[in-house]
This record gives sequence, C-alpha cells and structure tokens, in this order.
Amino acid sequence: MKKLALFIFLITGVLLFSCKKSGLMQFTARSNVYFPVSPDKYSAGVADEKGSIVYGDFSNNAKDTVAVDTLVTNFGFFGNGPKEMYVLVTVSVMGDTSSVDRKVNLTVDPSSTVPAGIVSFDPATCIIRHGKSSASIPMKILRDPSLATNKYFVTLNLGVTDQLSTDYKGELVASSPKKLKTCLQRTYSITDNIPQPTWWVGGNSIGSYYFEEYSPTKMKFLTESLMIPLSFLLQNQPNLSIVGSYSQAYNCGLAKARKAGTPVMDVSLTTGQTFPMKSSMAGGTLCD
Amino acid sequence: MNRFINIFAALLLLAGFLTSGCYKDLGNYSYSPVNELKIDTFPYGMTVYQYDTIRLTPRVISTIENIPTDDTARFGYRWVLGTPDSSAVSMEYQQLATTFKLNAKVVVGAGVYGLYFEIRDKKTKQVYMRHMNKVTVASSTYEGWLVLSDISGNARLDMINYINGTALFTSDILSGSPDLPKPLKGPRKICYYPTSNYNTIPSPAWVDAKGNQMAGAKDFIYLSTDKGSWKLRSDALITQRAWNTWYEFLLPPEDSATFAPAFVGAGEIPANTSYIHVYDGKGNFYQRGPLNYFINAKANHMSGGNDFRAAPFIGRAVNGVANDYAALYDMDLKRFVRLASSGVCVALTNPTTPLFDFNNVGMDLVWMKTMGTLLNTFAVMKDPAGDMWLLVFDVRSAVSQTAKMKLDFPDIKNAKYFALDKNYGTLYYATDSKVYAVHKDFAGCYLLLDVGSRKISWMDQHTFTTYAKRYNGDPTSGTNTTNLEPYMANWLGVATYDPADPDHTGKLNFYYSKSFQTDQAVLVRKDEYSGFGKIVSVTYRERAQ
Repeated sequence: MKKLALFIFLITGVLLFSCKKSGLMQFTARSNVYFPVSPDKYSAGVADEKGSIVYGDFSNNAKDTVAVDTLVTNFGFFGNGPKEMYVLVTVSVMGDTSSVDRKVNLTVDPSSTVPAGIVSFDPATCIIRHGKSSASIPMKILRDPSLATNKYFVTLNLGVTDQLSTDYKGELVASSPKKLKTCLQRTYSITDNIPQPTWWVGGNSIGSYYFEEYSPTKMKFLTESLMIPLSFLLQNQPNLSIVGSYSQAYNCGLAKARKAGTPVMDVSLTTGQTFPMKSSMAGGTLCD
Repeated sequence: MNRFINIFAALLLLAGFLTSGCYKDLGNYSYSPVNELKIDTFPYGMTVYQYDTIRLTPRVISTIENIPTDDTARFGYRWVLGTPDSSAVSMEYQQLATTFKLNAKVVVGAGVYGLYFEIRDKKTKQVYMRHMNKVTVASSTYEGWLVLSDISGNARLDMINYINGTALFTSDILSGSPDLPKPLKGPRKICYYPTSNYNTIPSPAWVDAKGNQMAGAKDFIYLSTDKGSWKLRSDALITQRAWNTWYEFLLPPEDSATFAPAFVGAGEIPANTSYIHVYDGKGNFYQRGPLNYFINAKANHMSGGNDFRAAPFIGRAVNGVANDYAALYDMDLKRFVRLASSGVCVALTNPTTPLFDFNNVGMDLVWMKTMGTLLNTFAVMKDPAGDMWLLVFDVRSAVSQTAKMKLDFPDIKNAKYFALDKNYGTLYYATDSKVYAVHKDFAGCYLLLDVGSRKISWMDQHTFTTYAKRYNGDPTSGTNTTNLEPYMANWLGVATYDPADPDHTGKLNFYYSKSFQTDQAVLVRKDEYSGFGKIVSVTYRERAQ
C-alpha cells in the first residue's frame, strides 16, 4: 500500500509540473568572429601577365613560415618582378551560416611597425558571404624598397559589428597547454629577401645533400644562372628525382665555370667570407 | 489488487501526458511572409573564350512586392566564376560583375568553371543564388591542328582551334614569345609531345591560372627551326629563353648559338611517351627520361662499340611499352639496329628465314615509321640503282620480318612525302603534285589525288596519343568502333601551296582514305583550311578530356 501511495504521489508531481508557467526561453548567443588559431598554411599571390591575381598556398615551404604564430610572407617567394602582393587573411565565424552577408571589422593595430601605405584592404572584400562561415580577405602589400632591408610587422584586429561579436577570445595552444593564444589578433611579418626552403635547413638536410650548405648566393645561382624555378625550390616536398637532376646541373654549372677560369663564388652566411662554391656529392662528376 | 494498481498507474501516466497538452505556449507566431526572389534556371553549361565577354541576363521574380529586380537601390548583385558542378561557390576564381546583367570579360585561364549569380535584397538582407554547372573557358590555343609555315624563310605558327566543334583560326602564335629570335629563320618541325611523367627539364615550372604550382607539365609543344629549338607551354603556347632545348643538356653537344635540332621526338609526334628524343640533324639521337637532363651520350652508339651516324628516323610506337626496343638505321654500315631503353644500341639477330639481312641492308633509308596499331615498322629504302623498296618488320621484343617488296610504281622515284594508314596499312606516297597509294599485301597502285599546278609541301596521317584510331576531339568517339570516317585520326592530311605565291596560298586538306583492299583507298574530302604560308609541319595539340 505504501508503494501505491508513493507512486500516486510521483504521478501527481508529474501532472502538476505540466501546469508550471514558464517564460519564453531565448537564445542569446551571437556569432563570434575569429582568426583560426593554428593556420597550417596561408595563401599569397601576385598578378599574372594578364592582371589576374594567382594565389599559391604557402605552408612549410620556406623556413620562415614554419613559425605559424606570426605568418611570415616574403616578396622573395615570387621573384623580382611583382610590385604588389596579396595575402589572403582567413577569418572564420562561429555558429550557423547566415542568409545575409556579414561585414567584418578588420583594423590595423597601432603597434604595427609597417609604414603607412604599404598594407591596405578593400572594404568591399571584408565580408563573410551568405552561406559561408569563413572568408579569405585579400591584404594588399606594396613592394616598398625598404622591405629589402627591413622586416615589418602588421597586426590585424577583429572588432565587433552589428552581426558579429568577439566573445571568442582565444584558446589554449595544443603544444603548450597553458598558453592562451588570441583569436582576435593576427600578426604578419613582411619582408623582401631570398627565402630558404625548409628541406634545406641544416647540414643533414636534403638540400645540403644535393647542393651542400645553404646560402642566399647559392639560391641566386640556382634560380638565375641555372634557371631552376624558385617556385619549385619552395615546394615543401619537391620531387627528389628532379632535385637529383638539378644537383647534376648544379655540379656541371660549377665545373664549367671552374674550367673557364671564373669559378662561382659563394658567401658564407655566418662569416660573410667569399669562397668558391662547393660541388655536392650527390651531383656527381659528370662534367669534371 | 496489484492488477488494479497497475491499471490505475497506467491511466494516471496517460492522463499526465494528455494534460501536458494544456501547457501554454508563449512562442511568438505572429509571422508575416518576407519578399522572396526566384531566379529562373540557367542552361547547364556554356563555352566562352578567355578574354572574351560573357553575357547573360537573369530572370528574377519577386514573390510579394511588385518591384523591378534590376533596381540597384533595392538589390545588389554578384557574378562569380567558381567551382564547377557545385551548388556553392567553394573556390572563387573571378568575380565577373556586380550588375544585374552579366557583361564581363573572362580573364581566368582555360578550364572548366561554375558560374554563380547572387542577388541580395538590401531591405531583407536575404541573398538568393542560382548557378550554372559548367562554363568552359577556352583559349585561342585550346585544342587543334598546329600548322608551321614558311613565310619567306621565316617560321610562323598558326592554329586551327576547335571549340565545341567549331574551327577557329589563331594566327602567328609565336609573336606571343618575345624571347624567340626575330626573325625566326628556317622552320623545321612542330611536335606535340606528351610524356608519361612531368617533363621538368629544363625548369618549366609556373603557377597556372587556378593557382596551382606547376612543377611542369606532361605535355609540351616542341618547335624546331634553323635558329634553335624550344618547348612551348601547351596551354598558352608561349616559351622563354630557359626552355631552349640546349638547356635540356647537361653537356650540350655544341654552343647555344649553333645548336639547332632537326626535330624533337619522331618528327611531329613523340617517339614514345616514356622518353624524349632529340635528333640534331647531323646523325645523332639523344634520349632522356622526362625528369632528367640529356647528357652527352648519344643513343646512336653501339653497346660496347662506337657511335654511328643515324638516319633521321626513330622506329618506336608512341604508346609502346617503355622497355620495347626501337629501330634506328646506321647510315654508315647500312643496317638496322635496336635502341634499348638503356639508351644505347645493339645489333639485330635475323629471324630464321629472313626476307632481308638487318645487318647488311645495302640500301639507304628514305622514310621510316613504326605504327603501334599495325604492330610493325615500315621502312622505305632506296637501293644503289635508285630503285625503291618497302621493308616491314618488328624489333620491339621478338624480331620478325613481314615484307620486302619492290616499289615499282608510277612516280615512286619522285616521291618526297610518305604516310601510313593506321587502319588499313596503306602506304601513301606523294610527289610534288600527286598522291598515290600502295599496300604491302595487295597488288596495285592507285592515284588518289592530283593537285594540278599547286605543289604539295607536307603529307601525313597524324598519330594521336589518345584514341589512336578514332580521335576527333570528342572523348565519346573513343567508343565508336564501326565507322572510322568521321574521325580525324583516320584522315590523311595534305598541304599544298601555289608556287607563284607560297607565302599566302598555303592550304591544308584532310581526306578520309577508304580501305585499300575493298575501295582502292579512294579519298573522301573532309576539311579544308587556308590562310597559311608554305606548310612544312603539322601536329595536333590534344586535350585530356
């Protein structure tokens, strides 16, 4: 009988609960705009011969870009020709997509060291389009002569708009769990020099095997004298069969210059001293 | 009692669920419909030339408000070329316009894109979209016949460009390459050369119109002239100094100023897609893999022996296996030899009942071609007495000899051009003004064509690397096995000119040649193109479909 009483009591509770007057629950969260915390690549491009901007992905293809905390871009990626470069700044938004275009409030932080006029945005491109949860906003960078001797930094801030909030402040870095990395700022460094392929860093690298120790002078020899495309050398994982062929060409180029009495000279990165460029073991002695 | 309790409990539960229906819903259902825009469907696809203008007027209906949808005060528009066959833009390649009617120049590279139209209602902020699955952006150098002409001794390259079954003429393609010498004296050969691996030497990397880092490409066009040889990018047909064939050598055989190969490949086609061959015009062949440089070793070298002077022909099937032997002809000892994949030659062993002695042919080689569809090499020879012979043999793996026949036919000693039919094995020969047909298996010789006072300057039935027998630019044609006539791979091309005005009167005619056995190889006229100089070489820029 006790069980029956308990049961009736519970059922009565359920019935009474349904009579509870409740206010309308409202969803109050807003869409937060943010920079992806750990971008594994970014896109940069220059105009082709017809004026179209042609972008390529740069991930770990040059030593400088390994440090993804600050994305380093370099006019040197594109040779001597282009006078302006575009870097796609990726911005994402939380939550569902929208049926309307949403403006992104993107500003340059006053702490930036880049001189005025070098970096700019077209406001018309600062939009997360309808149906999208991210946008790639072109940042235009002019090839100022001062970039050859200076490395500038530009920090971008994301701000609040009518449609987008900035409540997503940051997240812990996977490799360093105690470090909070901001999602509302992104820093780019901009320079104009000869980039170093990631596979040519250190004495035991692939590059050192095929071309001996890295130097900017050697990069210029490969790209200008041997006409090996810079874009090939900047690939993260170049085809080693081709690198092997280029290594033969490298040794042959040095041998021909030696025989002509005008050896190709190298400049040490560490001491600045000049010395005859070294042949590689991998390049063989075909032309000796 | 327990039964009563269970029934009572069940009734109470049921009553509880029913009562929950009395819950007062405080939601706001005072909805009013918003104005919607309905965009009429676009065609599935269209073709437009690169740098040409694309035009389209959308039909948009406003569902509630009776307002014109081309009102820019109320609506915003966007036309974009993006990912093909997708309902979303995904990758955006070019924003074409922000106007209601599309009227914009297409600047993206040749390829297939999707076209997206967005209309944004500024009042409701809603965006509506309609897409077209495929917009094929074709270039003026997309696909078709590449025709190398001699204009007063200088090279001019033109193209008969096929887009959607329409032939368009693109003239003077080489003018787009400022690195080429001007004038470019002595046109020799134009060769479409696809390879099985990226042809990366010398250094042909670039970034394509879609932003892909191109470490090279598998197909290039090789141009050979008295001033040198270059490879042209197969999309825009442009070249640069670094792509001179001289730079394909680690140890060039001579200096860059004088190095002018007679041809690359096997004339106007690749000798084989696994290798790149260069003939220097002085009896020397060089062979390399697509990823490697030429070195100074010659292919016309006997294994364990010496170099020999090779005749300017290489008997190797385009789509043959990489390890197959090829046939070269030793002009000094008048013998055929086998070129192995290792890059050097070995002597041939005669079959048990030979028709002729490979190692002592005793004649000069006049013309040679290996036809993969016929599994044989055809060689036209000239003996010391001036008589002409046809030798048919196979040296790819096992060695065999199929025919040795004397070509005792009209005008044969005046023949300047030869071609082989890939279907029927018909051998065509042409003098200055006439084309004849003979066959190794059937008696007779037929006069197929007499061009009168015009002069013949080139003749060939082109060997395509795709759909060897039936290619016509339409990938579905590869499935047609019954009717050969509509497909240009089965057509005989004959170029003629008026000797009184060779610079302006060049014509290129194509004929379908019927079976030699049943129809006397009669020619059925197909296409004719004019506007050339004296045509010296023709190849076909193919497209991977």
